Amino acid sequence: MPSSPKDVVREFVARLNDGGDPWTLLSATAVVTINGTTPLSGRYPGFALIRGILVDSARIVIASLKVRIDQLIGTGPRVAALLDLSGRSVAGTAFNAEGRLCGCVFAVNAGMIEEVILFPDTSLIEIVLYGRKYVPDV
Amino acid sequence: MSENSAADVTAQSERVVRQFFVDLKAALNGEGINPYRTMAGDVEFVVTGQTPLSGRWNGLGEVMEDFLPKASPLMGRAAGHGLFPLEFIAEGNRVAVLARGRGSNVLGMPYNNTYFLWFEVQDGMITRYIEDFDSSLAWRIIFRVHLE
Repeated sequence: MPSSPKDVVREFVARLNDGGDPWTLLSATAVVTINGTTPLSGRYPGFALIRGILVDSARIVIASLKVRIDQLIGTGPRVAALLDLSGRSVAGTAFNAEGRLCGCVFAVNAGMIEEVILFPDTSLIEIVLYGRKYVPDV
Repeated sequence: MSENSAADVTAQSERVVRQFFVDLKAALNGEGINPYRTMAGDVEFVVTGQTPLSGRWNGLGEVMEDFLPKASPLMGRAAGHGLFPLEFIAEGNRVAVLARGRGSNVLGMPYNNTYFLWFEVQDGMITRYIEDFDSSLAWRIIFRVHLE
């Protein structure tokens, strides 16, 4: 069993990648926030909304996702990470093959993740996952 | 490294980063402070995203001679603008900061973003800076584009 908050985060990410069950490391009242204004962005409190809105919406556009922890810091219950999120869209387009990093903050209490705040590349989400373009205003 | 030394390094790193925010605020207030004076000459400066201003600049020279001349003309200037740190998470020479920004584009349209900023500190200077934020918002407001 993971002990420190950083260990909990490492185990959570490992389970995301290897098909394990990450939900048992998430508090049932966990709040996941995806920064930005994309269709995936927003604040999702609790399993029902995390699964029913965020994960279900993400599955429509993301075929595969790999999470690599590049940096992980924090000596208390809140840890900050630089993550490399890469994968493939359902349309077959690879995203972030360059391995660019994004920020994420986790709050861990008694071995359970209570909060996740992810700062993804929102312009990449719009372009690659939703096939949108940025067009000059008239 | 002893426990006290590790804590000292963490505290010193956080002090350097806090000074960066103090300098930035002073610069925005017109106090003639170089907001990048805590950045090392060989700083790695990264702005995330896919925008025309996203990328990596190697060294303070590139930041001052390439990034800033491109970025500054695009930003509005008004009282109350700034980058406001909310939370510091530090360990050793690495510091993550959650921050809110208040700004505008050159037309005065509000540009208020939310940031995850990553700093690495060596010998009292910032050697790595990553600005992670809602790049889609930045692209739309600063560059005056819309999504189709």
